[in-house]
Amino acid sequence: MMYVCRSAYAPVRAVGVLFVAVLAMASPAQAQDGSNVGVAMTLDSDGSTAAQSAITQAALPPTDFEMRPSVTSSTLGQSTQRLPLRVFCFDVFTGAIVNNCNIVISHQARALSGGHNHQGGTRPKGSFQPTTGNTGTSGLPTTYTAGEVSGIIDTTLTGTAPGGQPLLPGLFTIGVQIPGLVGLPAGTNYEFTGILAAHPDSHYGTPNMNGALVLLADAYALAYPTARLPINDMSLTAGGLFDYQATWAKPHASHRFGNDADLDLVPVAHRRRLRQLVNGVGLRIVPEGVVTHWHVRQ
Amino acid sequence: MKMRCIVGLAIVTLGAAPAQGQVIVPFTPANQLTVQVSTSVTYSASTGLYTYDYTIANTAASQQAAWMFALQVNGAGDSPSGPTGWTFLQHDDRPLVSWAATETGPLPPDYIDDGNIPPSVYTIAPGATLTGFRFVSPNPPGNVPYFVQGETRLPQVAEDIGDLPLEGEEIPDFTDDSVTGTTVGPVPIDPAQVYTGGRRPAVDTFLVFLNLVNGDTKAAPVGIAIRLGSNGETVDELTFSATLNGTDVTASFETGNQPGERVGVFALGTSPLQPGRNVLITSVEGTVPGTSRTATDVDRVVFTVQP
Repeated sequence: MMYVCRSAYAPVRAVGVLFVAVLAMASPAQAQDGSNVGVAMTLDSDGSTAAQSAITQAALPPTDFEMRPSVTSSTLGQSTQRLPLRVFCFDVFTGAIVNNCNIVISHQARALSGGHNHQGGTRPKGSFQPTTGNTGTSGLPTTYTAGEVSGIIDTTLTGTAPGGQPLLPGLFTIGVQIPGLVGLPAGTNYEFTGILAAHPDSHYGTPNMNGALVLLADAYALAYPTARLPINDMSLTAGGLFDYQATWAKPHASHRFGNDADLDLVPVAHRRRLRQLVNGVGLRIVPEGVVTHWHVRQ
Repeated sequence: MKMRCIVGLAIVTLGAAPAQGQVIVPFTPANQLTVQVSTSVTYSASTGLYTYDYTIANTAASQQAAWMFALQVNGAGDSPSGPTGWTFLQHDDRPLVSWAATETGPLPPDYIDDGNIPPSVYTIAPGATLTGFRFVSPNPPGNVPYFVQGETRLPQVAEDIGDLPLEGEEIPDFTDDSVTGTTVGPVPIDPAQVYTGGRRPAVDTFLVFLNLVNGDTKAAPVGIAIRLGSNGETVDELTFSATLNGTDVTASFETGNQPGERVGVFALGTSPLQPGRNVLITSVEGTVPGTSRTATDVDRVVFTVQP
């Protein structure tokens, strides 16, 4: 028996969510062991909601909570993103809050989410603090701290009611992502390079960055009619750490927010012109590697 | 035995170190040069267009050659041309036009491609002067900012931009990494900014200044655009006259590209225009609106020309 709550974005809406959930559970709610106490999670009214971004164009499927990934292995945009939450129990038949439940929070990063088509190694999943506790009379406050990798965090709430009977488990999802990234559409004046099986969608950017790259490619093609601008790594669908070596770690320090792109090296005779054109669309250049590629940033 | 393992590990670590965190070319400011930008402006009454010609002199004391010259202008520069090896660009992200030494010319025999930009024989070396930066515009001359960027190699890292001390954020926009100043370029006329002189309301709009206000400071050459009969008054254009610093310059005002407009371009050395304080006095006769009475609009504008 699984209880799933959706869209518990704010305390004021949590009651509604709870009510809907109760209706949905009214018939089959009784667990085999006789439990009728469910467990829910909502944003903590006492905590800041700064981490809860206004997601306008989500790359991830809908989740119960949404937030940005942390940046800890790079100084650029360095931040620790925290989501203050509160767990409480309720009677699935009446919707009444049940006090003094013992709660256990467990979570895992959903495989293959966030644009990562690889599973080896230990995927960073962030952390809850605390992961256990008693709801008392006002719920159990806990804070989720996002990792650097975007994706969906599946969170399971279990525990026992005051009488000792097990709770109906609650499953919640947290979408960790950079909002607003858009896939650069295919174009006639550029080509995508560097696509690997581990990250098949590696050409996402902000609308502004995508627009600048299209303008750059158009200008480059105008200057060299037989050439197409080779665009290598940008950002992943949901942003966050882009571990192009599928190691859940750098070397890409940036490529997290949709305003970085790598351009494969163009012929020597084109490079000074490309530099001017890059200036012309408001980007900056850093060659990375020796005879490898140029990194451009908005 | 334990010691051997530690030593072995240390060697492996040191051997792997150069691949990460290595800055091959550090960021170098590209404003290590001193330039003089001079402008020539001509106006064609037949086309109604101004031709802007620029000359850049890179002083001998400069530490860098100049590879890019940009102007902040609103509106497109038409019919652009540039010196050999230089390419004109209308910027997409802001109101700028630029020329850059984009051609390399013959590369040095010992040139090795390292992924950075190659050298160019067309940059303006310290002590050299280059002319031929040109475009035309319907807009009269005014003060515009310029940017000249010195030739530098791009900051380059062994592996990732994160290797730079500030992960690339130390690289400024080129407009913040150039020598800058003010020169003459096309400035669109702002209808809301006309200057009437303000002395006799009944006749003030017989002649208005479209791009000059009393007290202005201008770079030379100075282009002055005026409009006769700004509010539709009947004005006798044959009575128009102008003096600049006491010298008659009436003939220097040609028919502009809009009805009633006259434009004059005054350069240092070839006109009465002088560095410092300048006095322009204009006069034109017209009929006072609502009457049959003839009156004269006389305006006196004092402006400063930057030396």
